[in-house]
Amino acid sequence: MTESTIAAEDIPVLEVTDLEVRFGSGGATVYAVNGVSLSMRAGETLALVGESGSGKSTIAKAVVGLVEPAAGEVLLRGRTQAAQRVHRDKATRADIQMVFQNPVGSLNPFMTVEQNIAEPLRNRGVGKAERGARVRELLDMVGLDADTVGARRPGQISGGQAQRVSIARALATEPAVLIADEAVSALDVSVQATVLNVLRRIVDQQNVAMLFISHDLAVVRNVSDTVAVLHLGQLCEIGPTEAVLSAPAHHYTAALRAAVPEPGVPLGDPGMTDADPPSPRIKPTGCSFRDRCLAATALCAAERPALTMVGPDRGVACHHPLERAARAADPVPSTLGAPA
Amino acid sequence: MTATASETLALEVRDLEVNFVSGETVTYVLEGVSLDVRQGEAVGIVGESGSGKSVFARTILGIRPRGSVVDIHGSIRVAGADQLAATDAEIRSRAGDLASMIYQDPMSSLNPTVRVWRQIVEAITNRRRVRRDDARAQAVELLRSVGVPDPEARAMAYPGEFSGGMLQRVGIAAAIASHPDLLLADEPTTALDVTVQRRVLDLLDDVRAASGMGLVLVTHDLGLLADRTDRTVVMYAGRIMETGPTGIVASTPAHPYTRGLLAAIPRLSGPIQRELPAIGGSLPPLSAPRAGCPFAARCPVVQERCFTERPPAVTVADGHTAHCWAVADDQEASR
Amino acid sequence: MTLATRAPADAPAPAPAPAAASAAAPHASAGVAAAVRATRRRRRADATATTVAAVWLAVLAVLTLVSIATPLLDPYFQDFTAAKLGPSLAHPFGTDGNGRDVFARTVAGAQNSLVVAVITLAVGAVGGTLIGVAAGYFRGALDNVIGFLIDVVLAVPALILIITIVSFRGPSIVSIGSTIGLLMVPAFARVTRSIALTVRERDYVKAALLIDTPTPRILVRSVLPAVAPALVSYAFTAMTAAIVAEGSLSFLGYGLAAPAPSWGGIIAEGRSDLATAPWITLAPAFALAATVMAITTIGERVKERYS
Repeated sequence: MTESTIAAEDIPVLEVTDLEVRFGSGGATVYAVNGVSLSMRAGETLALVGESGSGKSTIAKAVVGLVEPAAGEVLLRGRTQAAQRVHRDKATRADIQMVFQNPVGSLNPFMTVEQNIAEPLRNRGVGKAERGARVRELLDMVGLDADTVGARRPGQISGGQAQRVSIARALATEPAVLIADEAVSALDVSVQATVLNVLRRIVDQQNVAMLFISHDLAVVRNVSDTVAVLHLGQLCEIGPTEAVLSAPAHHYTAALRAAVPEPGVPLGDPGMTDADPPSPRIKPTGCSFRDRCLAATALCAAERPALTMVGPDRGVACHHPLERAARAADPVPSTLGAPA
Repeated sequence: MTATASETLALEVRDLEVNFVSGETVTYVLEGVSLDVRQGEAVGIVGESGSGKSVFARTILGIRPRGSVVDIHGSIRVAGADQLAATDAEIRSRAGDLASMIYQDPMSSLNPTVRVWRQIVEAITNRRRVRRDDARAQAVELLRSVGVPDPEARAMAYPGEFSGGMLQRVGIAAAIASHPDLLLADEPTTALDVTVQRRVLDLLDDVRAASGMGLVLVTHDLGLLADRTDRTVVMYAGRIMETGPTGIVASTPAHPYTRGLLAAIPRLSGPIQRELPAIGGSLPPLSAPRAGCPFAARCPVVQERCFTERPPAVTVADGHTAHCWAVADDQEASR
Repeated sequence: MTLATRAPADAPAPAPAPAAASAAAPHASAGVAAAVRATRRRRRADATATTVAAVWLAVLAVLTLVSIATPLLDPYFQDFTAAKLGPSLAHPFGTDGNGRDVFARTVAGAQNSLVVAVITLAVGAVGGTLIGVAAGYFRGALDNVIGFLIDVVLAVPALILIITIVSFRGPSIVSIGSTIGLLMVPAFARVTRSIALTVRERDYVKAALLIDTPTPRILVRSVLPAVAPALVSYAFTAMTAAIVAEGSLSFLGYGLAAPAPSWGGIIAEGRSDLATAPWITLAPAFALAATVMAITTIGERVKERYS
């Protein structure tokens, strides 16, 4: 990861610059995403984590064009994408695909599994015989047998199987970017593992860039190369997943990490106040986490902290970052491996 | 708590079987579940979807699904009182007295058009005539005790004016208003963010410590129970697979299902797992009674008889039992 | 002692013999059996009602065909010497004031009433679904315009509208049917619009957008199948309403012009003779009530099957 970024001659597959998304208008405006920039390379998984209202799913919707940004740009291979996908360049539409949270609900209940997967191929004018062969190939890719599940309808397969069918459908157009929006959150633990393994394998083998959206830090740790932590539509911290999670620089990352329950592991110090996060209906000023932060000062209310690089690929938006973040010394675990 | 009270179990369930009959289809939800909860004890029930954990909690409270005939066998006693022999009217009249429930979605159990203080003290005012001012004062005290800031003002608010975490606190206040002997919490934090989840669970701890009631915490998340419950019960396909002290079950599980479940949970500590060990296969159909062990088809240490003979409860250590033939063999071999 | 170890993968497990499964089922208990029995009893009762309803509609259909194909049942043949005769073998339902056979007129009335109902349904269901699905799926200005037009239609008193249109276009089967149908468009549009509104927010419709599915295909493969069950259930209700509406119109004299028979018209004709020759009124009234009940019964079964 480190080397590949330093040596990065390659253009990022996907870039999001200063993205802002608002819903509603006037007094009822919800400030969902407030100036977030991200960049992804092929074969890399970028995780967006945060609690409800952090804007992580809204970023995904803006990237695929399901919502229109108020400001900022989405660039695919360096080219600006039109704000909404209906106006988007037809050639690049297939390049960004998405897997939704609700496994059964994101498949057409009136079509069989095979028809669901064939749909994107059909829409691109792929012939019937070729479609059949490709559907088998795609089902095989996600570890499902066409003869067993192919003729069934979404209501007749399990949640884990349905989610794999969704992944197969998303892969049908050979996208460059795959967005997984809470794709394993609705699944039981024993099934979740299967789907995560499928996603990892696809990123490795198909060389796609995956934007993995999740509220679950433990899942993110085992699936992503880079993690971006969001709070109320602002980017708190970004960097190599293991480095960020093992030694958070932002107080919110630390608090989030401390709150994740693990079997047999008592929780640590909460590291935050009991305050509720501020309303997303108020135009954000300063740092969005300051009300819940133990280290907040007057500066945090007055001025929004800029994203500052604190190590290789490591950025934090905090006026008073956690001390262990003299993190040039922090080794990046080799277990992650550099993406191809 | 008096000496006699501590001898009465907060909850005593024996061989509970629950079948839902809808039309001609029968769903065999619970197949002989037994559980004791002492006064002041916290027990966690863990299971994936289809394990029957929620039906178990609901059956204790006498909540039956609509549109189905429910066929129940076995016995349920809450603080010594028989729940199954009781008529619906009896259960309703003492609801809240003996046992009370905290739901996953507090919004669905609260009336959006009634001020929260009325709903909190509903369980009390339903049976006793209480002066309005007294009832409201009681509700304010309960809100204060569950950590709702500015309880005097918040008591007058409607459920829609609360955040998710605060609403769950209101739900807890309503559940403990009548000092029940047993508190059931069905996925009380699943809809909440982790930072909020933690505060709600801390509150449940405090409430239990202060009142001495029994607590049954139903969840799909084994991690949630660490440090929070005395015992863990692992359920699968309507049966108890393993039960033991929470720390022991999480560190040295005996049942192959518990082991598989623990291995499949992604971790924040320890080595990164690029390939998570999944449990292959899927839940057996609940439309037929399960012969033998319901986990047999997915089990890495399955034997021939697992498909036909129901495994016995094997005592692994004091208070730690597993329903498994392989564990039974191990025990015999080590003896 | 060694354990029989198996690979943990998806390898198929030796399936338990069915005999073993049933042997382990002694707790398929009395309660389950009783509940299943109760269900079976209810199902049988439902099936009987459905059969009776279907037989009634089949008899009606056969008689209608007979009256069209043969001169055996002539609703217009008058025999003034045989006016107001009570039911007999020659005239099963008796004769009316003009000496016409009430049985023949009732059968012919069925034909007219049912044709009007079918036309009503075609206009109401097709029009209402098109409008409702379009409004619900596309939302925006289209939805607002359609909503306004529906409010306008609903604001005009139905009876006045029908009487006006029928007097302009003449009291033909088509004009009566299409006018009642027009009045049913708002109801069908509301039913289908509300479903289309929820369907467009479903993840599978969003997924269809992401994979570039053309809008007509989304409407046909995603929205219409979701609308269909409610549409079919409502169609049965609408059909009975159409039959009753046609009967009422004819009764008031705004239906088919005399001497063309329709149930409402025959009932109106027999009204003045109710005390002396009740069969003139009772026969078509019974036919109308029985037909409405039969359609309702079958509609209930269809609704059950869909849900």
